[in-house]
Amino acid sequence: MEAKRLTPATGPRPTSNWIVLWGSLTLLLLLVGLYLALLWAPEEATMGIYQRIFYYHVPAAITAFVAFFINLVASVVYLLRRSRIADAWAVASAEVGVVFLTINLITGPIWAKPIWGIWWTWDARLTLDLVLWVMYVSYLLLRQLTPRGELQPRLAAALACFFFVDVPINYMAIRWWHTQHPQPVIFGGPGSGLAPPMYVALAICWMAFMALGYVLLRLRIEQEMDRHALDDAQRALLLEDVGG
Amino acid sequence: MADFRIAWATLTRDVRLELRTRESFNAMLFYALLVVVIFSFAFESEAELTARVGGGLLWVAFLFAGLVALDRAFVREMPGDTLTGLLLSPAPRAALMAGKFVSSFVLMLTIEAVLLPLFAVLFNVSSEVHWGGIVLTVVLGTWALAVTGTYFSAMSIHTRHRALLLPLLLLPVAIPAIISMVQATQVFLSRSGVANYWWKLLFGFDVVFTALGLLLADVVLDVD
Amino acid sequence: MQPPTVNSQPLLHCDRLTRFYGIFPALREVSFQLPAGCLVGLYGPNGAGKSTLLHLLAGVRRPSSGSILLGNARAGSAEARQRTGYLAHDSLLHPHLTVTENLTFYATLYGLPATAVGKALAQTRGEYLAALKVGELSQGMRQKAALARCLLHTPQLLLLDEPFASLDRATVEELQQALAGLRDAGMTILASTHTPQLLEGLADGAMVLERGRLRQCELGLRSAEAGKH
Repeated sequence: MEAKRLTPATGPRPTSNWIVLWGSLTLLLLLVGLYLALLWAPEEATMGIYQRIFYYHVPAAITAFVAFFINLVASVVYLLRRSRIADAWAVASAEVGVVFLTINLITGPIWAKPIWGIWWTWDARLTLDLVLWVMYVSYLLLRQLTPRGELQPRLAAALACFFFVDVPINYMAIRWWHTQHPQPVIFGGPGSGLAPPMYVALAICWMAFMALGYVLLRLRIEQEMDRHALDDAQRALLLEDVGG
Repeated sequence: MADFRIAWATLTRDVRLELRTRESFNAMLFYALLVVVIFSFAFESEAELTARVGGGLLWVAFLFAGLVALDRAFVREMPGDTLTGLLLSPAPRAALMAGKFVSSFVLMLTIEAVLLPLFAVLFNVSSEVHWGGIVLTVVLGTWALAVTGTYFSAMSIHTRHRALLLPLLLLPVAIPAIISMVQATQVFLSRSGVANYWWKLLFGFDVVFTALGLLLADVVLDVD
Repeated sequence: MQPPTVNSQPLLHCDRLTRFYGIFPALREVSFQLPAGCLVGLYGPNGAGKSTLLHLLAGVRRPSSGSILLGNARAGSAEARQRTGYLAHDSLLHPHLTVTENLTFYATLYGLPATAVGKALAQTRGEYLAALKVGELSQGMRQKAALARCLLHTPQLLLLDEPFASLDRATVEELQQALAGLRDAGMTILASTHTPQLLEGLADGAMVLERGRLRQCELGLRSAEAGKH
C-alpha cells in the first residue's frame, strides 16, 4: 500500500465545474417544466386544475424506476467484481430512487382526493409503487444497520437481487388480485386521452427530474468515493506509524 | 452426495437442538397461541367475519409466530459461537443453507399445526370448509416464508438490531407470497372462487426464491 | 530483524498481511514463512494483533491486503479450510449437544466418516467426554473437546489462540505433550500465549508482534536448545 500524504485543504474540488453546468441545466428544466405544467398546458376536461399534478406524479415514478434499474445493475456488477465504484452507484441510485418514489407516492393521494374523493386505492400501479418503496426503504435500512466495511455492500447487493426477482411476481399477484377483486381505476392508462401539448409538458418535466436525479446521483457517488479516499489516506498514514 | 449429507446433518442437528432446548420452542408456541387468542378478542369471531377476512387473520398470526421461529435459524448458532465453526469449515454454504431452509420449514409447520385447529375453534370456521385446500396453501406458503426468512435471518445476523431487521427485510419481499396465501386461504374459508392461480403463483415464488437463496448463500454465509 | 530460516519447502507463506478495522491497522504488512512440522510461539502484548493474525490464517476474517498461502491454497478457500484447524477462545461446540454429537456434525462438514470422531477423541485422550453435554464441561474438558474438533480432519496447520489460558497445571502439561506429539508427526503449529515460559523448550520458533508489526521471527530455536529437553 503506497503512502499518500494528506494535502492541506486547497478549496473546492477542481471537478465541481460539472455541478455548475448540470445544476443550471436542471434548474432551467425545472422552471420551464413548472411553467409548462401549471400554466401552459391545456386544462384537462374532466379533472380540471388538479390534473396538473400528473406532470410530477408520473415523471417521479419513471425516474425512480430508472434509478432502481441502475441499482440492480450496479449490485450485480458489485457481486461479480467487488468494486467500490459499483457499490457507490448502488447506494446512490437506491437513495435517489426512494426520494423520487416518495414524491410519487405523496402526489398520488394529493391528486386523488379532490377528484375521486378518496386518499388511497389499491390501484395496480399505486400498489406496486408502494411495494417497491417499502422494499427499497428496507434496503437503505439494511445499509444503515450494517457496520461499514466489506460486508455492507455485499449484503445490500444480494438484497437488490431478491428485489429484482420479486418485482415480476409482485406484478402478477397484484394483477390477479384485481381480476378477483376489482378496484376503482382512478389514474387511467399512462397515455390515455392526452392532448399533444400535454406530452410536451410531461416530457420536459420528466427531463427535469432525470437531470435532478443525475445531479443527486453524481453528488452522492462522489461523496462516497471521497469518503473511501479519505479512509485510504488515513489508513496509509496510520500504517506507517512511528516506530515503523 | 456429500452436499446432501451436510444439508441433512444440518437439518437433524437443528431439530435436535430445538427439541433439547424445549423452553425456546414452548415459548414460541405459547406466543403464537396468545396471538390467536388476542385476535379473537380484537375481532368479533362470528362465522361470517371469518368467512370474509379469516384468511388474513390466520396468516398474520402465522407470521407473528413464524418471525420468532425464523430468527432462531441463526441465533441458534450463537451459543459457543458455532456460527464461526460453520464458516470455518469447507462445507459448501448452499448445503448449510438448504439444511436451514428445511429446519425452519419444519419448525414453522409444527407451530402452525397447533394454531390451525385453535383458529378453527375460536373463529367458528364452518365445518364444511375444504381443509385439504387450506393445508396445501399452508404448506406452500410456509415454504415461501421459510426460505426467504431463513436467508434474511442469515443476512441480519451480521447487523445491529437483528430481530428488528428480519421482519423489515422479509415482509416487503414476501408481499406477493402473502397476497397469494391469504387469497387462497380465503377461497376455502368463504367457499367461493378458485385457488389454482394462487397456488401456481406460490409454487413459482417457492421455486424461484429457493434457487436464488441457494445461489446467493455464499454472499450471506461469509466472513468479513 | 533476522530473516527466518526455512530449511524445507514452506507450508505457510504470508506476504505483507494487513488488516484494518475501520481505519485502525491491527496488522501491518506482516510477512513470514513457516515450514511443515514446527511449533512456533506467537507473542506480544495485548492489542498487538495476535488474535487478528490467527483469525486471518484460519479464514475467520479476510485480510485488507496481502496474501496467505497454505501450500498453494489461499486461506479462506475450501482446500485451505480442509487443512487448517483453529482453537479459539470459544469452543465452537454447541453447549446443548454432547461432545459426540458436536464432533459428528463437524466430521460431516469436513467430509469425514463418523469414525474420525473416535480417533480425534483418542488423540486428545478425551474419550470419557464423549457422551457429556458440552455445557456441563469444565474449562479444561471443553478445551480438550475443542482440540478434538480441530484434529478431526488432521490439519496440516494448527492455530491456537491462547490455549493455556485458565487451565490447571495438569491440563497444561497434557496439552504441551499433545502439541509436541503433533509437531513431531509433521503438523505446523502456531500458538499465541501471554506466558512464553509455557512454550519454553517446546517451541521451535518465536514470532513477536507489536502494534501490528512483526518485530521478531526466529525459527530453529529448539535445535539450538537441543539437549535442554
